Amino acid sequence: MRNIFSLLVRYHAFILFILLEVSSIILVVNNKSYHRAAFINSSSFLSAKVFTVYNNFIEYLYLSKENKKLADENALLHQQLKSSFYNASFQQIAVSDSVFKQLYKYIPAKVVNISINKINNYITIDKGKKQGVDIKMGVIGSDGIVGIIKDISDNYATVIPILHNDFRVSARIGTGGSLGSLSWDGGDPSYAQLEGIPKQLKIVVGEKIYTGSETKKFPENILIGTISSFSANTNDTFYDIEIKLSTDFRSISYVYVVNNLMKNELDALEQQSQYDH
Amino acid sequence: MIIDFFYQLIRFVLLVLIQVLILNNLQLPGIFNPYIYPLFLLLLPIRMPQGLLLIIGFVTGLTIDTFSNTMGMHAAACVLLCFMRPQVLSVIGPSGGYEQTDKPTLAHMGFRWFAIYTSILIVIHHLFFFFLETLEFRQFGFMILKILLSTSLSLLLIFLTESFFIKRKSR
Repeated sequence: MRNIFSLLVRYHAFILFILLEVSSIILVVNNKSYHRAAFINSSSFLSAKVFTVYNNFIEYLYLSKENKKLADENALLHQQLKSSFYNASFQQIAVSDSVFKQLYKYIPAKVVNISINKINNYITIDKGKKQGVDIKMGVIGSDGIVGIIKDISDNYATVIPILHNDFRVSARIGTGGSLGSLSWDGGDPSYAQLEGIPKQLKIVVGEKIYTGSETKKFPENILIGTISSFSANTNDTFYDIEIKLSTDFRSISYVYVVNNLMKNELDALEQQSQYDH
Repeated sequence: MIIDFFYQLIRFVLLVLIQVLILNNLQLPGIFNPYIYPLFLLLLPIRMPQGLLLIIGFVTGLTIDTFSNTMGMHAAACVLLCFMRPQVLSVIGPSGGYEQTDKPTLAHMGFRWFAIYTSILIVIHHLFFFFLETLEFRQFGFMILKILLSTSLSLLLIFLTESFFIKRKSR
């Protein structure tokens, strides 16, 4: 017994080293799977507070640029208002508005912290559980899609942007074209890669890429980017396509969290079908 | 003693803030990821007990992890740095051992000693950190370049910071 004790005293530093190292590695591994160990991340109270204070200060430097962007977006939205359409038909049948049920709701949020030069980047936003944000919701910006909510706290949330190794979204060429999977290779933050487009299809540089219809996180036909280059590898059946992202992550500061009001219903239905198999 | 403790605390807060608010947000190409906060661990007193050193390293790493969403990666790298620190100190130390008043700073120990000390430990820290970050990553050539460039930039920043204090003292 005394031997064991003296051994412990003698090698206490080494034992402590192994202990701390193992617990760090456990944290690293746990974080690879979604939604675990959510207690240490940038949506936690202290770090979110520090980022918010800093951001409020820095924000003044970019006010004019940001104002212009918001004004542009406002103008665009005004164009889409019902009042800005001219009714060309005289004999129109009155359609009750209850035909259209609200499917998506948007929660505006401010970016309080963002990284773009890591392999796994994150965005922290200033809306959380109390404002109706939930995990796995989609996030879009004024120029296109941004990412997916990973962790939430009461008033903050972290987002996995396109610029993350685990990010995948189904993307479609044009509004009716074929579907592929969009991911990011960890290089330039302005470009992402589209996989799964078969080579027999004709594609053109400059074509626009939109979100697909079967993703529940984003509304259909939200812009992702444009094709900047592609190559056809001879012993592969798919194209390698580079996408120039429409969202500029270097200057992003306001985003919208997408709340799909029918998501629970869809999820329940799909789970049901899985049990049946 | 208490004054020294406060110095260390202020240094900790300043370096962490510089790291998470400025360096993590630098609009540099993705290949440059400098880390200056390990300087805090390098400048802790030479005779600090190793157990305490390891715990401080772990806490420092976790603090940075909290701010940069890296979850345990910085903690692991810092714990390794703190474990290696006494070994490195004893290898490069003067033959008669360190004096009671010695501090591991550029101003006190001179350029050559500090260069060796910092380079060895920062390389260990960065290699391990980028190794953990890379585990599941595809482009290895890019990563090696990233390690080289980021490490050089970190070392440069640490030297600049330290030499700033030399000038202030000699005036």
